Amino acid sequence: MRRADVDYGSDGSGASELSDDDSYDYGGVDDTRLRFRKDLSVAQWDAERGIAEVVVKKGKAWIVTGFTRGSRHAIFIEEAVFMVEQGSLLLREGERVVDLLEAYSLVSTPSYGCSWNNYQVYSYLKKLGYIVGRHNVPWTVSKKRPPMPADEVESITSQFAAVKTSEGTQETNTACSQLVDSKSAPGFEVNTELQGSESSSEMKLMYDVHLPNARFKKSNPGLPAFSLCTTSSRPPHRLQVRALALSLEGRPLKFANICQVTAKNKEGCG
Amino acid sequence: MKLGVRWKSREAAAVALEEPISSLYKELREWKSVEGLLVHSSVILSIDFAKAQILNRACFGKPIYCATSPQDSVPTTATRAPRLLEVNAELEDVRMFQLGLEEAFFLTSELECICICRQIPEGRVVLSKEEVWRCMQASKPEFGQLYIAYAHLRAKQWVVRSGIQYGADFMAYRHHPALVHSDYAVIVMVEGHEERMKTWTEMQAMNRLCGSVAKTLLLIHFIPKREGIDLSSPLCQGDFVVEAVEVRRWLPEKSREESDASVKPVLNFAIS
Repeated sequence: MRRADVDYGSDGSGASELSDDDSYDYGGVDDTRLRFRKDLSVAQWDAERGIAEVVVKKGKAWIVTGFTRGSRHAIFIEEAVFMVEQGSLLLREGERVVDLLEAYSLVSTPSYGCSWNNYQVYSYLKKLGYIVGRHNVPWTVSKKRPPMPADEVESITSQFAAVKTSEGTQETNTACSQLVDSKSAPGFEVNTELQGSESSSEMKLMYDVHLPNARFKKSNPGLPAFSLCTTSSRPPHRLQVRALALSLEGRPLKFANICQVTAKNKEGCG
Repeated sequence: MKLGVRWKSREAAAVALEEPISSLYKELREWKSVEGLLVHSSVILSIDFAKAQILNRACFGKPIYCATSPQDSVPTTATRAPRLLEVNAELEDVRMFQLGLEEAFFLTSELECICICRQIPEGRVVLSKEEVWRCMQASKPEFGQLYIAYAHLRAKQWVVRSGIQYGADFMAYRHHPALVHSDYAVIVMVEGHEERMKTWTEMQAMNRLCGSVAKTLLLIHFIPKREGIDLSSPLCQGDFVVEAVEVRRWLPEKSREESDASVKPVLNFAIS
């Protein structure tokens, strides 16, 4: 049966895009189960602080995961959930084990600084080998590095302006207090609060992403390849793009949109 | 064989005719309220292999690659690595599946095979349909209108997937995408609030894109029956008339020997 629409290919333009229909598989469900690793790491979830403190560290994943403060190592909820999903971490809350379903609901709770969409982005990039950390949270704090002068902290604070598209008002984003708190407090006083709800029109820089790098060092990570902002259901307004770009002082910025992923996304062990 | 359906092969056609979508819906209806966990913009299911296979065949959701293990055998000492979870342990027959909001609501509301719950500190609480609708509407402002279009097509046994990769709201297939080429790229248009297809340039661009991947553009119009429809309740579905319109480019120079009557579209006007 001839269809009029196939004629678009005849002028040689626009016919190169292949349909994704061929990537589906009918009937057989791939075995999507991964085995837990032999040597499991263990972390203790602290709901009050919104982080998990690493108790047992096994494997090389820790080189690119979590942040250290002195001798202590902690991870954010998305890092914990990813490792549980991959079978390399046992996440506990007190004596009981936090199962994967519960971990998924924790990661989508705004008060821990992440969201389901942000987790999808984090997980997707991690599986591809990127090194992903929360925006502006130092991987480690070195005693050798001089403390930041107060006015420099102030200028960083003012750069993190979130712009609301509807009202055109400006509001200081207190996510930058992470930077201040992590240097001053002896423990893990990291502000994990995600400001506003996920459906808000405000956009925040969520992750700093480094390219895959076998020689990555937390003590000297270098500048991230780009910083990432996840978007709501709408593309960013130009004012939002400008505000975020200014806060990065010219460093690359990317926006992520989460769509329903097709069945062809085959993910391997990270 | 239905007119206008483009099967990928004879075998594919045979498989599809042996297991039509209606039969898969029937199997889904027999499930005894499987629990789905709502995590803002997705619903996660923890199911066995057989159920995962049905969902895959009926094209709902996608599986999540994750580790599964018998958690109960873990020792309680927090400081010791739990070596019991080792290679010898048999993998549980548990598959995690991730559903989109429209898919999940259709499964819970029309096929009634899952119930959706939410995690709270005290445990998991089952949500009513109205609560689920409100949560989904809150996490995705266009959920209501997208769902009505989704349910309209799914109820007619079309397989509906996200169309974002083609610049559309949905892709509609006559059966599983592995068996049949997609027929339609679907765009939802709410009367009075149309955001797309307002210029010929855009219409032509979309048609061109569809043509290059061998799909037809389908516009689904929602016409409100009255003023001030409240989208915060699932009952609003009955407040719209749905019209589906196919858009094709007609080339006069190539149609001189054949009239339009020889090309029979599967869906022309569908009014509910």
